[in-house]
Parts: sequence; C-alpha cells; structure tokens
Amino acid sequence: MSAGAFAPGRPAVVLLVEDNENDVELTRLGFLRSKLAVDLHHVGNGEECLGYLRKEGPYAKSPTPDLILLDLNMPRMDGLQVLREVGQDEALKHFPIVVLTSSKSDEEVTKSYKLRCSSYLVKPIDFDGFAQMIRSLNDYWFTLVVLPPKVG
Amino acid sequence: MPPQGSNLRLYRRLLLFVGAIYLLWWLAVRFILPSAFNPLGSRLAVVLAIWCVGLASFVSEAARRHLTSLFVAGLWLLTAHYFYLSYGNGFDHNWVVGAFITVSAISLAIFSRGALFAYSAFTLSLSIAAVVALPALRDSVFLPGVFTVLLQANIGMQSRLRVLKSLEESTQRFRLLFDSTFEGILIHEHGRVVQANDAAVRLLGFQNDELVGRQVLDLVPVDEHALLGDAPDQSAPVQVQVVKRDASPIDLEVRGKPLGDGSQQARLLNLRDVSEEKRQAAALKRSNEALERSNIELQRFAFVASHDLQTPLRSIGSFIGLLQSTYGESLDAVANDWLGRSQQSAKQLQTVIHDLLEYSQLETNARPFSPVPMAEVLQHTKTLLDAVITESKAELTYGELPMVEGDRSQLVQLMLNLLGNAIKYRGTEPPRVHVSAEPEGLGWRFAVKDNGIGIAPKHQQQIFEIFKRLHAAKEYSGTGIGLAVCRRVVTRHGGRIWVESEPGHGSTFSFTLEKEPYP
Repeated sequence: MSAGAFAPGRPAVVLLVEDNENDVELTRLGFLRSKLAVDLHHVGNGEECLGYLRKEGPYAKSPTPDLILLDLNMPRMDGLQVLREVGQDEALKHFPIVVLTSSKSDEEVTKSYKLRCSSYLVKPIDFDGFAQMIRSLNDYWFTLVVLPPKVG
Repeated sequence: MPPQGSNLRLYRRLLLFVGAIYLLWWLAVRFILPSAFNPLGSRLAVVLAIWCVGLASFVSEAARRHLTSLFVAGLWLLTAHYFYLSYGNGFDHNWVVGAFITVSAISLAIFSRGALFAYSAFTLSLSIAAVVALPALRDSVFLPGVFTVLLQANIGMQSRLRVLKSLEESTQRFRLLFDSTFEGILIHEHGRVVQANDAAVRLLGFQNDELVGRQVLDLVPVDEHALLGDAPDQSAPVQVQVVKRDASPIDLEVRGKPLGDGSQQARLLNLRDVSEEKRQAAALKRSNEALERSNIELQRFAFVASHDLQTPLRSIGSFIGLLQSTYGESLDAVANDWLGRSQQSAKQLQTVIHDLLEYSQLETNARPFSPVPMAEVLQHTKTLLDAVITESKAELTYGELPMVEGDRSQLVQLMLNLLGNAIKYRGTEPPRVHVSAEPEGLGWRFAVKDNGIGIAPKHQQQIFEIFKRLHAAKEYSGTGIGLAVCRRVVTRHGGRIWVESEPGHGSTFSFTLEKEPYP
C-alpha cells in the first residue's frame, strides 16, 4: 500500500445519499461482501445530506465521511442540487462525491460532471454486477486514491 | 344609366361653360349692337336655371339620376330664349346668323339621338312659328338654314353614336369584368369613393351604388398614408378587420395603388377577403400546438415511465440474484429453475425499457445536422458490433460510401440496428452482410443486403411498427423497437426506409438520405 492511500487505522466512512430502501440494502450487502470494513451511513435525501455534512441537529456527532455516494433522483432536494450546494460551500467542496444512479441520460451525466462530481456510476441491474461495482469502488477510492485529510 | 364619374363631370362643365358663354353674349351684344333688344333679366334667369342644374347634381341624387334630361331641358330653355331675343330684334341678319350658331353649338352638346330628334323638332317648330309670325322671314334663308344645321347635326350624330356605342360596349365589358373579379375594388378620389365593384359592395355589406360618395377611411380603417398617399407605387398589403354594415366583422387584406400611370387623382383600393385564410391558419396553428404539446407530453411520459420502471425492476433482479447466490445451494432444482426464469424475465424487461427509453429520447437527444461521412459511421458501427461479429463469424463488407447531411450519433444508431438485425436473423450459414450506396434523386439510396432468414411479403410493412415482432423471444431475442428507431431516424433525415425480401433468401433494407449540400 502506497504512502498516500487510505490507512488511518479505522474503517473508511461512506455516506450513502439514497431514498430507495432496496438500494440502501443492496449497497450495504455489497460492502459487506467486499470484505472491506466500511462504516456506512445513510441519509434519505439531499436536505439530510447537507445537514449531515454540516453536522446539524441529529448529525452533530456523526463521523465526517471520506466518500459520498449520491443518488440523483430523490424527493425534496435531488442529487444535482446537492452537487450545486456543496460546490458553493467552501467548507464542503473538498468532499469527493460519486454519483450512483439508475439514469444513463447524457444530459444528467453532463450536468453532474459540470457540477464537479468525482465520478458517475450507473447502478447495474443484477446483484453480481452491483457487488462487483462496490468492490471496484473500494479498490479505487480506498486503495489507490489519496483522499483529502480530515479537517476539523 | 345615370351619368357617373367623368361623365358627370363633363355635364357639369358643359352647363357652366354654356351658361357663361350665354352671359358673355349679352355683353358682346351690348357693345357691338348697343341699340338691340337685349334684356339682362330674362337672360340671367336662363343662365341661373342652367347653373342650378349643375349645382343640384352635387347635392341631389335625383338630380344626378335625371341629369341628362335636365341638361337637355336647360338647352331647350336657352334655345327658346334666344328665339325670343331674335323675335324681339325682328330677326335681322345678325340674329339669324346667331340663331344658326346657337342651334349648331347646342346640337353638338347633345349626346343621344332621341334628345337630338326632339330638339330638332322643337327648334324647327320654333322656326316655323317665327316664319309665320314674321312675314319678312318667309323670303329669307332662315328656315332652310335652320333645317340644314339640324340635318348636319343629325348626320354628325350618326357617326358620333357609332363611336359612343362601341365605347359603351367596351365600358360595359369593362364593368362586367370589374364586377366579376373575386376581389373587391374601390376607386376613390381624395378619399371619396367614385366607383366600386360588386365584390367590394358585397364584402362591405352594402347595396348597389351605396358606396359611391362615401369616405374610404370610414369603410376601411387603415393607415391613411399607405393607401391615400401620393406614393407612385402600390402599397404593401395591410391586413385589417373591418366591421361590415350589418356589424359582422370581416378580415380584409387591403392594397392601395394609383390608378393608371399616376397622373390622375384617382387611386385604387384592392380588397381581399382573408377571413377564411385567417381562420384556417389559426386552426392549423392551434392543432399544431396541441400536437406538439401532446408529442412532448408523450415523450416525457415514455421517458418517466421507463425510468421509473427501471428502479423497482433493478431491485427485483438484484434480490433474486442475491437469493440465488446466498441460498441457491439449500434450494432444490425446481426452486432454482424458477429463480432463473424470474431473473431471465427481469433482464428481458430491462432490455425493453432500455430500448423504449432510447426510442423516446430520439427527438430530445437530436443534434443539428452536419456533414457526416457514411464510411466512418459504418466503421464506428462495426467496432460496436465487434463481439457479435466475431461470435457469429459474420462477414461485413461495404462499397464506396458518400458524405451525407445528418445527425452522426443517430446514423450510427440506424446502422447498428440494421446490421445487428442482419446478423441476428441469420440462417444456418455464417451471415454475410453488404452495405452499398447509389445516388437517387437529390440524395442517396443505401442498401443493407444480408443472407439471413428473410421476411415474408405480408410482414414487410408492419416490421417498422414499434413492438412488432415476428419471432418468439426464445427463437430470436429482441424488443421490437429497433426498426421503429430506424424509421424515426430516417424520417427525421427526410428519407424513407423499406425492405425487399424473400423468406430463405435474405433481406435488403434500403433507405434514402439527403445529399450533403456543401461543396
């Protein structure tokens, strides 16, 4: 493992922003199968996501995430709005955000990258594909990539 | 027919002129023959009577209608008065010559044969009465002189009548033509209507001749300058809503233009009824808008529906897969078979939704046309089909392919579907597919020829309809959307697509595309 990779001696913290309970469960199972210990936290929409990141109300004691998995289609505040808000907030804009969604539309892909998401992933149809994707995600984000140091 | 327009003006001028001459004559007699019988009062009365006819024609419709008769009556009065003067002067030779001049001048001013005959009879009887009353006249040239003058006037009238008759015929022909046009024509002078054809009268809801004398701008409220100005050329058409006499509205297209070479005062106003056109255009616009709205709504619906179908479907597929991988070993073969079937169906539905999404997004994802080399499109398609080509041992060839004008990614989609089909619906032999192009009309005709299973003639029309399939999923997989996509792409490019085929002998799919218009 190289010097810059993720090795703080604790599980990586992942914040999953997803309104669909089935997908939450599948993601949880995917991480479980990837054999990498991940501290997975979940919020149901964009407002809660911003609240979590700003440690407001019930999230005051929640751990700061290393990576955010963001769905696009959500009630109240959707993923694109979250990307926009985070990008404009100096205290939040360093968070790596991976868009994880069912939409493959060119328009949404372009919009997401224009709002500086870190990557764009399309949810595979079957669980094998899903598990494979989570494994790759782990390998990439928590093995290769140098993540920003935790601030505050 | 009562005198109109220029005829009316001629009568008025003649009345003014004749009256003035007759009054000046009094002055001339006064100086040349100071001792003659030359009363001013009666002469003034005659002249005023004549002028009154002219004045009446300005204010009274009845006077205008009977202007010819009134005019002739004025001339009779004048002649009778002159004979009275001559009698008062004993018909000495000056007055005899004056009588000849008067009678011949007045004869010239009469325009109809009947009136001239009556005038001749009147003058002859006056002359005969004068000869009877004055025995001195019996031996003079007076009576033969009057007779000669009237004979000459009548002979002159014959030829003048011939001219007048042909003039009248051509006037009638013109009037017929004028009244037969479908467009309304108003001729006006200084804003006042002097002539209107039947169509104009009908368009504005009036009766015959009611338009004459009215202000044009009261009838057709348009920009005054455009229609009445001195511009030598015709004005641009103006559309205006006019309230007809019965208060119903009508949409008119109005154009103004000087009459003839523009030297006359008269101008012409052309009126065309565009109510129906406007109604149709509005209806067309409305139905177009409705169509566009429903089209957009439909595309949105298809997009949202297929998008929202994807999410639960993915959960179904995933959890079945999870069930299989986690508990598959503890389930029996039948349960595993059922799980496999469920998984297979979910995958199939996923493909349908994917294709449907693609179809519904054809218009939304459309890009503006640009020159596209078809050889590149084919090369790109070949790369995308690489796995299928290798697996099926397909042989894909193509001739020289031109540049076309189009949407590159949609053309790739088109070729992908056609070549994919050509390989998928193969017979027992490895597929051989050839793509060629030939100029046709203003564009190109492309042909994709395969050696596959072919299509029966009765099915050749319906295969381009969405969801139309000829095979069960287990024979050949597919969603029935591919050729519908092809047809939409080709239609959007202004071309058409069709198939020629014989079962067992392969198919040839042909489509046309516009030629690339740039050099």
